[in-house]
Amino acid sequence: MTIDTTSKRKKMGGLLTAPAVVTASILAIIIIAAVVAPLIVPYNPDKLNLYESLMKPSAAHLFGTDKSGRDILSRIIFGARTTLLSSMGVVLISMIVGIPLGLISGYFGGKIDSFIMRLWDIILAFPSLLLAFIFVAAFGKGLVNAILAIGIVFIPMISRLTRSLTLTEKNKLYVQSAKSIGYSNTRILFRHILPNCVPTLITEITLDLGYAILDLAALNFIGLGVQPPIADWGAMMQEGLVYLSTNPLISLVPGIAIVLTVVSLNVLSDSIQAYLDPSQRKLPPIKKLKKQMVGELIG
Amino acid sequence: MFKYIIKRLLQLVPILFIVSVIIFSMVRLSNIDPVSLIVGSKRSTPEIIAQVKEKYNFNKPLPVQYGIWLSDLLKGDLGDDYKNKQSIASLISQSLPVTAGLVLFSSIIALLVAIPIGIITAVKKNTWIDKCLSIITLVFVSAPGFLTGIFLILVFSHIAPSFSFTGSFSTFGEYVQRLSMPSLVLAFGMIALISRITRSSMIKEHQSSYRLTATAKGLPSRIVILKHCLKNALIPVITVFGIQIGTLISGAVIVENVFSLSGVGSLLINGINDGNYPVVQDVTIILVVIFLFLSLLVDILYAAIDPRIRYNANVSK
Repeated sequence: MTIDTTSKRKKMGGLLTAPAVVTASILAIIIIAAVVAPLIVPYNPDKLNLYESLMKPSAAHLFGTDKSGRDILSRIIFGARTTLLSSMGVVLISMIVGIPLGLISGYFGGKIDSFIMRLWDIILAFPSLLLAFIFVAAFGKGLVNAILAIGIVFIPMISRLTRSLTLTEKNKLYVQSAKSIGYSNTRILFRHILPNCVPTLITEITLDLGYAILDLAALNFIGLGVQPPIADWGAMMQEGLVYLSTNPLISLVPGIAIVLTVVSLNVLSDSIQAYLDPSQRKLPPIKKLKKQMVGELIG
Repeated sequence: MFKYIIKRLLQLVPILFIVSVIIFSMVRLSNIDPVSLIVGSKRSTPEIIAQVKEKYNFNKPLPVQYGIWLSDLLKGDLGDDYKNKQSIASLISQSLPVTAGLVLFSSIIALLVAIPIGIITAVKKNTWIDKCLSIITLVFVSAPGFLTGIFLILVFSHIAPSFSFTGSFSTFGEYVQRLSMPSLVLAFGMIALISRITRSSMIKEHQSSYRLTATAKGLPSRIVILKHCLKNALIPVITVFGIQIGTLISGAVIVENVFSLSGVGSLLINGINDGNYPVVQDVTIILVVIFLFLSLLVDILYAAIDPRIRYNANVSK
């Protein structure tokens, strides 16, 4: 029997499906554009130029200009920065608070579990954006407060997922072995259980990035999040609302950018989930299968 | 069953209490000075400021102010707002029909459209119609509500320029016309999600043994799908719908902004921007109460339909 050195390559091949590759590349392009934004924008996104306001798309301005004369393409590229950074902030907050608490509440159970679940019930008693509203009412408008508010709203989701994953892992043999050797609970939780939860958590986190983008865009659209002159896709849509009949691009282009990003995240998350759940994986074409089986028979 | 309802209602009480404390303290943390808002455009002398502080209890310690608010609330007195001195109850009763209509119409549209789409895509799995509809629903799940709203406004202003969806309304007919487009917009996100859930749960039911038995017995597939599979498939749909009520309420706020509807959402947003404490407090707590009761209703419906939930709840005692 030969050592199966090709298995790792085959496994990663399961992840490289067409939808996954396409959406990952779209996201990579958006991320790279956001990172090198200052180098590639044709104009300064914040520079007001009232002589050139509300221009239609032309060779000079690919998507036209908004009411203050700022080039829309440049604002879109800088808006990618705001969108990506703020949504990552939201997900990071929910992960840093939610995952440890989910692990603890799943592993120890009992009163700690009930208490933590009650906390999440209180957060979940608020319809999602409403909690963000009163947070902003309390601490003022601004991007940082919007990120904090939506981060708090997302905590229960990740925490409950981690908790249910922990409950499943808790009863497995490796945990009992670790306990019998005498490993501390912290070590078991973070070095043994958590790595096994990571694959499912990655699916959820990718989805949450998409939802975070949508919720943040909504907050920015109403005006309770980002404040001018920061370029943001949601805020740009609000600015363009008045000019819908004359210059629809001011609102539509950031909107399409949002949809593109969130669709890519959703499809990527679906692909990761399909990869992790072997029953959903599609079999390779029959010729390849036959070759594989013959190969294994011979060598 | 009755015990289940009572138990759930009792669980709501401490949650509502803590929620009211959170709402009250968050609103009071705000930097906007209420006194200047109350005095308004009149000249403010130190006497007037002292009078205002006395009348509105700003001199009392915060827990006392909270107690006053809570006891008034429980008596049904919502107080007056700071800016225009109107009764908040009347403000809310004027704006609630708009928001309630939005939520109701969009739920009905969503369920009427999404469930058939879900059934069709499940039955015709992997055909071109399934793939097409799946892509469309994927895009709508990922599109923010205000984007579909803007897009629809654009499209309709070209197709039917006389169809008015802005401005106020006086008759029921105008009410429906005014709310039709916003409800459609709000429904799109729900349609996408519910059709996907219906599809996956119908596929699951399709693979079950009772479906196999029914088909083997010779029942026409239409009856098997619609009469047997659908009932079981709808259970996760109801669960998801209950979870989505919160998103609906938040989405209604956004859609009201896009279409300039004067609903509860715009009341809340203006209250936040003005620093109108009682409006923000009262509207938020009322929305939370409505949301919690609607979720409870959905849970009870869920328990009534699926006896396994009831029995599990009793067994675990």
